[in-house]
Amino acid sequence: MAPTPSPQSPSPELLQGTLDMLILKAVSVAPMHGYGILLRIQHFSHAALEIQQGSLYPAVYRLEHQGLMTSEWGTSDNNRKAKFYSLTPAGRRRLKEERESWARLVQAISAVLEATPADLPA
Amino acid sequence: MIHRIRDSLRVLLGRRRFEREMDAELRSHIELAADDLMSRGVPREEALRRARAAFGALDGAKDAARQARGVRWADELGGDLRYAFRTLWKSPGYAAVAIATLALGIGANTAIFSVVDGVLLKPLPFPESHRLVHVTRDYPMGALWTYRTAATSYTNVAVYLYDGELNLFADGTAERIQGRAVSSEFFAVLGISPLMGRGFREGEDAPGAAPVAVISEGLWRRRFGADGRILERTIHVDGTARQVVGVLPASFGFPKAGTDLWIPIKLDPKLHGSVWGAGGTTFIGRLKPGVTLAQADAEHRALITRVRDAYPWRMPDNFGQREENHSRSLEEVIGQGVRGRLLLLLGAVGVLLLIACVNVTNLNLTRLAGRERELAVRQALGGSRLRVARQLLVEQLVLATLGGGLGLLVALIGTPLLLRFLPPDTPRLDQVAIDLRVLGFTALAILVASLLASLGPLVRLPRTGRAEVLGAGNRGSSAGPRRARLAALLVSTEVALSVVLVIGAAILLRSLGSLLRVDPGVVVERLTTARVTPDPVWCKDQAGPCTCPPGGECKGFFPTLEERLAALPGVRGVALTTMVPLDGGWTGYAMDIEDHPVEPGKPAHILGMHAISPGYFGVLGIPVLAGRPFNAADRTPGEPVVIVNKTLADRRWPGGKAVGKKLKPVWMPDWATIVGVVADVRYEGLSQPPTEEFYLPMAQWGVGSVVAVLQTDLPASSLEPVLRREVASVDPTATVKDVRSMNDVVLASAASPRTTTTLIGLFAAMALLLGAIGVYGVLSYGVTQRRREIGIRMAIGAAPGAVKGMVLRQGAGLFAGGVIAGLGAAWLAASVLEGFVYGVSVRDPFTYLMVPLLFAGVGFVASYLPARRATRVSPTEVMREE
Repeated sequence: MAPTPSPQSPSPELLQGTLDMLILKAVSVAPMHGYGILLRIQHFSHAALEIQQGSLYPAVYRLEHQGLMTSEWGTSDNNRKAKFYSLTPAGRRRLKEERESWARLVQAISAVLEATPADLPA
Repeated sequence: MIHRIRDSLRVLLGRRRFEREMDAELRSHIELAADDLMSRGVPREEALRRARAAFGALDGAKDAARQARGVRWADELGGDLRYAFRTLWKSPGYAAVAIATLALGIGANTAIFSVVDGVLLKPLPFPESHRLVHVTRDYPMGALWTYRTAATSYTNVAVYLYDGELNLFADGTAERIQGRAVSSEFFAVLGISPLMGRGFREGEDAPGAAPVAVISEGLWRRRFGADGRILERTIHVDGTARQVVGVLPASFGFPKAGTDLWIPIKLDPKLHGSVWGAGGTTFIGRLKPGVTLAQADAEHRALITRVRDAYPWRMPDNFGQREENHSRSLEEVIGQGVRGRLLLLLGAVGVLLLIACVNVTNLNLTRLAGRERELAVRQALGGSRLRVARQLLVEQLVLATLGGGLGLLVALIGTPLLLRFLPPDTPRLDQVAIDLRVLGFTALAILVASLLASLGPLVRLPRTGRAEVLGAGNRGSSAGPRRARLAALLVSTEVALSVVLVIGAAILLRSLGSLLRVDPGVVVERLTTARVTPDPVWCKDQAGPCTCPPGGECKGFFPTLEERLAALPGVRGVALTTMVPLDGGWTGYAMDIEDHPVEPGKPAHILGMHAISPGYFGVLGIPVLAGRPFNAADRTPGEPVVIVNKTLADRRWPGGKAVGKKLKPVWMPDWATIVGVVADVRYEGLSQPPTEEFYLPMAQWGVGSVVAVLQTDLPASSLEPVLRREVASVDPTATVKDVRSMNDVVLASAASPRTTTTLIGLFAAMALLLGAIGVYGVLSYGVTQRRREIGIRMAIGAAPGAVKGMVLRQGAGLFAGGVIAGLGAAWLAASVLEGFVYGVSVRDPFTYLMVPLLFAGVGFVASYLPARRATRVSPTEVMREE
């Protein structure tokens, strides 16, 4: 059986670097609790990305530990107590940096992938 | 970074809250997920189940989250700590020995370090003390004029006299106290502001200035009852009425702790003798900001010729060219007299700590063998090697911390004892304290000790095979022999280190012995000495108008004193002198010597001078070798007489021709005739060979202060009150100080070597004990390990003697290796003792012969006990265990 590419288990390298970025982005729109962050990422990616629930909290805690997010207890839409995360100024700066370096990476990789024989050095 | 540490700390401190919140957060997550499912029509129970399943392992997530907050290491450390305490609790014998050993090592190091720190390392307690410079002590105070006008490196240069005692007379009682004459810049150089009043003003050391004095807070409280109006009072210092203008804070004790009084020097250009003729002054300066010590020293050298030319008479051409004539930091100069000894002590106590650590590491190694299975199981169950190693380290850290804590207690008790035990002239003892600096040192010692103590087991740990050990049952494993070799190596090292210490201590002890056997040249038994100083102004009033030379005002006082003391009950004889033998003091005079003229521009002859009463040679038992002693007739001013010592007579007029020759101080017109030659006396100390000395009759020489030497069977303590009463009845303003037996004077003269030797001897004894414990431990462990083998040997007919011999041989091997290595190391390191020994070589053959014998004896005892235990192994029991 051929392995099917699964959005639920992206390669660990990718996860390590990008999960933090995705969380920061999700929270940057508006403060949100952990479960909401998962839903947001799913929604923004048109259900292409689904984060493993168990790996969310270590990442969230790491970001808070690094001073990129702060948390506050609040109430969810359906009146449940939940811990809401929001970006700190440092987090905003980090998100900007991550986006820029991500864009450069994507551009570089696309350039490689879209290369044709004409691009070969003379 | 800071944020992360703060965050970790917050989490750690509010640990329970963190856990509660994390639980709540994860619960709320599940609930929210379940809500979603329920909104799509899934029943609640099923929704919760699915939400939980989707989340995955809750505990794993929590653990990862904890790690993300940087607190997992703390959890593990906590676990390690609990585990360490549990293990130690289960083996109290081991823990007690290890903790006691480390407490001894760390405690002794902390105590010695606290002294080294206070005396040598701490900055001087003055503002910007790094700018303070010891300029020179080769100049008389007159050179200050040159420095005031010409020196540019300093904001200020000040002078203080080396001599430090003054008579204080106030409220009807006289007292001799520590006091200094200093130049007006003194307090400004040191940067000290008084508690009350002021320091000295410019010009207060010039002729015609109103006499003033500054006193210490201590004197102010003790003597003047902390009188708030002290600045309105007048006190009498050496007979001069002085206005008190300032009180200095108690923390200020310069140049010596316990200095109570400061008066301005007399910089009177007319007083050639005291301004230019007398040395014994110290120049200190405060560097201008940005000026280096090297620049100041260069300037100092450039000024030498200017100082020479400022003298009112011609100085030798080589004036100021002595090797030690250069400027150094004040801190360094203050500590230089004791630096060598203190560093020697620190080195010795450091070796002791090393021995203690080796002992504990060895103990650990043998203990590791017992825990092999436990550690193997832990590794097999997935404890990484690193984790197990960390566990061992934490255990040692706990041990060393307990030992260090106990050691701190040892130091808290030991340091004050040490301070009382050290020679009282040790500088800066008042700055010795168990403070944060010392605590930092202790913490460092604990860290180093725990690292060293875990070294043995850690080296061996990685080779502890898992299956191998687990399979080997309780018969020990193949790691055994390798570990035994390491243990043998360690214990030999320990013995070697002890040998080094013991040899050092033995050589110092022999040196002290030969020092105390030196004949000082005087009788030591049944003599009491006391310094008596009359008040020159009082003397002058008593004598009426007198043509006495300066300092000779009290000529009338001394004969009366001698008479009255001789009449005291229990006193058989009395003599007066300016300087008691072996007290370390020495007064040199520039002298003209008949038959030995000095070429112009060359240095004068310097001879030691003593003014004495006629009874001196008799009372102190100094043989008169030629001519006669002084007598009551030697008082005519026009016909001065002197007596010389053997060294002077032999060197200047060999062949016994000294009597009848003449001497005189270079500045005096009249020659004095030598009427006798006496045997040599050691004045500067037992280890100092006699120099050229001469004696003058007190009646022909101005003397301000004397030492009375009394021949008596009474102890000094019971004589003191009588003596004081008698002196006061002659002159109520005269002071009595340092009443002590001649024996005490001799002992005090050897105080430094005695202290060093005693302390190093103590450390060596501890080292010997630790070495013996080390060997005993290794052998005992060996016997336990080899019970089976021994049992079988005995079962097949080995005699108990043979078994005993086997263990003893093993012990002998351990000791022999260590002793040989130790002898070699001691031989190589022997030069550190150079300068500390007297009358014995630093590689004294006798010591190198005796110390191995001592270790052979100790080694036998340490091996005999395990050997005897070996013979008690019961073959049948061993067989049954199989």
